Amino acid sequence: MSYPATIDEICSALRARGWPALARRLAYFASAEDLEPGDVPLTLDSALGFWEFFSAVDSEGAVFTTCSQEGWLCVNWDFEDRRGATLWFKDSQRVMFAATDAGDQWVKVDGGGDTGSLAVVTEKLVEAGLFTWQ
Amino acid sequence: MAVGNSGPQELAPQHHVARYCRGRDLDERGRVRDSAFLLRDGEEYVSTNWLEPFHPADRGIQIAGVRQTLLDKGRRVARSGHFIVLNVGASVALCQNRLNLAVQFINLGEAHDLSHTGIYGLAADKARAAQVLAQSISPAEVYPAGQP
Repeated sequence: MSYPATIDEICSALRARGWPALARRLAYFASAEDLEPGDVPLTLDSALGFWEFFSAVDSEGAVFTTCSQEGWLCVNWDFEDRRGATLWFKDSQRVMFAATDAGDQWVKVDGGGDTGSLAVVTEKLVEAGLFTWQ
Repeated sequence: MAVGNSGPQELAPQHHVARYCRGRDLDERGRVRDSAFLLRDGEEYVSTNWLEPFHPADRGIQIAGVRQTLLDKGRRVARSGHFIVLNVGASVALCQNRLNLAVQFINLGEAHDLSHTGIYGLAADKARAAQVLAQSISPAEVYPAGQP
């Protein structure tokens, strides 16, 4: 399949990979359902960032999703141990995150901020043992 | 405790606030997640309502009071929304211990909404603060926002 270019195509790709519930969640966030004043539906750039990340790594964490008022997909990975990660896909290149490793220490990018490029954050999270490369 | 309109005041640790969260802040299992507490760019505080002015202890009366206050201000209270309750002292301690953040719950002393309270001090570490606060929510302290 070619690289998805729309949220519908990302949902189709998720279903094809065995993630139908996740596809339903993205479709819900992209819809007008439960939107409140000031809310923006899931943005295409955010969904593309998520797809890029989700296609690059695997994880034993359970995946849960919400959506910010800005239309950023917020994805939680819950683990059986002390590890945990929340990623906010602000657009296709930038991700904000909060993550703890197995020692319950915060994972930080250089400078200690909570936002970085998708490539740098992904590498940090793999180094910290929350994800593995596909 | 009576609420005066004598200007902003910090809430005591034993008190509680309710935060309205959207249906989109609940995950696949109905748990409140980080997006319920994320400061938007330019925001100084997370907006909440102080519960004790509505009743010293009855959570049902407190939540009903917050709901009516928001409606009176013209805020939409969606059927898919929820109110989540935080204890002030526990939240302050958690943010201090986990993030070294000096968080304050400041009642804003607004004449048109005497319970309106901001959680200040989160901006320096907003993503981690949102996660810490979301993880502190007890399922027993999540209430449907729509009319019962």
